[in-house]
Amino acid sequence: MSLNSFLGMGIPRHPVMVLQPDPPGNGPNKFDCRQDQHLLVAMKSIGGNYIPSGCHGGGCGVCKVRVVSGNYEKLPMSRKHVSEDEEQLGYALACRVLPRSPITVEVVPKKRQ
Amino acid sequence: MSVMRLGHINVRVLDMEEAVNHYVNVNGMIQVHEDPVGNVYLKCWDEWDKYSVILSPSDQAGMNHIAYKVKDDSDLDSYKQRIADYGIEVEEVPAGTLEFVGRALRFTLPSEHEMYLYAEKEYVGTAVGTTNPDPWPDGLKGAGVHWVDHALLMCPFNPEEGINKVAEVTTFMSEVLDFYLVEQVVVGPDGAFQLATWMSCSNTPHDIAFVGGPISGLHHLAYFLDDWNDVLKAADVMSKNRVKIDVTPQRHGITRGYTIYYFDPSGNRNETFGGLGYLAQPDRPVTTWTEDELGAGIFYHTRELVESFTTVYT
Repeated sequence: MSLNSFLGMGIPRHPVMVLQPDPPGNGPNKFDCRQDQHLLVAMKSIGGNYIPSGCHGGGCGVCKVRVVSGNYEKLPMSRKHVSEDEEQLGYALACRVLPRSPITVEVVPKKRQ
Repeated sequence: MSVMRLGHINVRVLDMEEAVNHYVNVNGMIQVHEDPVGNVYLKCWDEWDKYSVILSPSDQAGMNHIAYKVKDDSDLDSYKQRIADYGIEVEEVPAGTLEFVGRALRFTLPSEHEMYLYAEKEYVGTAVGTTNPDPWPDGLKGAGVHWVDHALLMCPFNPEEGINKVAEVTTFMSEVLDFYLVEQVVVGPDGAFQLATWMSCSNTPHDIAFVGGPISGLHHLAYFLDDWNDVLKAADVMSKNRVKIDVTPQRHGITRGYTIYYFDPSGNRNETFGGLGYLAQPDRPVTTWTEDELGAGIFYHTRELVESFTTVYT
C-alpha cells in the first residue's frame, strides 16, 4: 500500500451540503466526503452532528435523508426504514450513501419518517 | 429451573458476505454450516453445541427469533402446558425444523419477539476438547469471543397509554419460564413502571434483558470475554476493521460487566461483555436503579445515557 492510498490521498472527495428543515434557524452545513466513504464517516470524522448518527449499517434508520441533488451510489439499506417508492424519490439512509459528485441532502426528522 | 441458557439467536443481515466477514474475522466465530436458502450458522470456540448464531439474508436488519436450551426433553412437555395455560399460543415443531435441533416449542413473547425452546442440538465439542484441554485454542480470529452470553430485547413501552411490555414479558419469563429478576430500572411516580429488567436462568447476572422503547426490536446480542484486557483488544480489532463502535470500552453499573457496544455491517448491535459481574442467585436481593441514576446504571464511568441507547436498534 502506498503512503498516498494509506492516507486516502488521491481518492476523489466531494462537498456535501446538509439542509435541516427544522429548527429553521439551523443553516446548511458543509463537509467533504471521500467517495469510498459514506456520508456519516466523513461527517463524524470532523466532529459534525448535522445528520443523526446511529448504526452506520443501514439497519436502524435514524440517519434518513432526502437527496436534493447530486450523484451517489447506495449500499443495501433496511426496507423497514426506506421503502422502494421512497428510494425512487431520493430518500436514503446517509450511512448508505457514497457520493459521486457534489451532493446536497435534507435531514428527514424522525417524526416525519 | 430447567431453562439452561441462550442457545442461539437468528439475526437478519442485508449483505451476507459482509456479515460473515464481521462475525468470523471481527467477533472470532467459526462458520459451521450454510443451508440451501443461504442462512449461515456459526459457533464460538468455547461452545460445544453446533451453532449459536444464525445469519439470515433479508432486506431488513433485526432479529427473527431467539432460542433457549432446556435441560431435558420432558421439560418441553411441561413448558408447553404452562405456556398454553398462561394464555399464549404455543406450537410444537418437529426435529429438524431448526437445523441440527430436536423437537422445539415456538411461541411469541408478550414483547412480540419469537422464541423457541429446545432440548437437543447436535454436539460438536469446543475447540479445546474435553481431555486435558488447553485454556484456549490457537488460531483464534478477531476478538476470539467465548460464547453468546445474552441478548437485550426492546419492548413497546408507553405508560401514558397503559403499554408496558417490559413488565408483561418480565412476569411471563418469571412465572412461566422460571427466570428470576436480578436487576431493574424503575421510572415514573414512586418508580411505578419497570422500564428495564435483567433476568437470569443460571448464575450469571443476565441471560436475557428487556428495555422499553417505541417499538419491539433487537437492542443487542452479547458475547462473553474473560477480562478487561480482552475487551481492550476487541476494541482494537474493531477499529482496525473500521467497525462502527457505539460505546467504547466502559463498565456497566448494571451487571458490572465490561462492555463495548458496536454494530455489525447491517446495523445489528453487538456487545462484548467481559467479566462475570457477580454470582447471581434466585435468592439474591433484586438491585433497583432509579430514573435519576439511569445514566450511571447503563454507563458507569460517564454517568450519561447516550441517546443511541434507546433510539438506535434494529
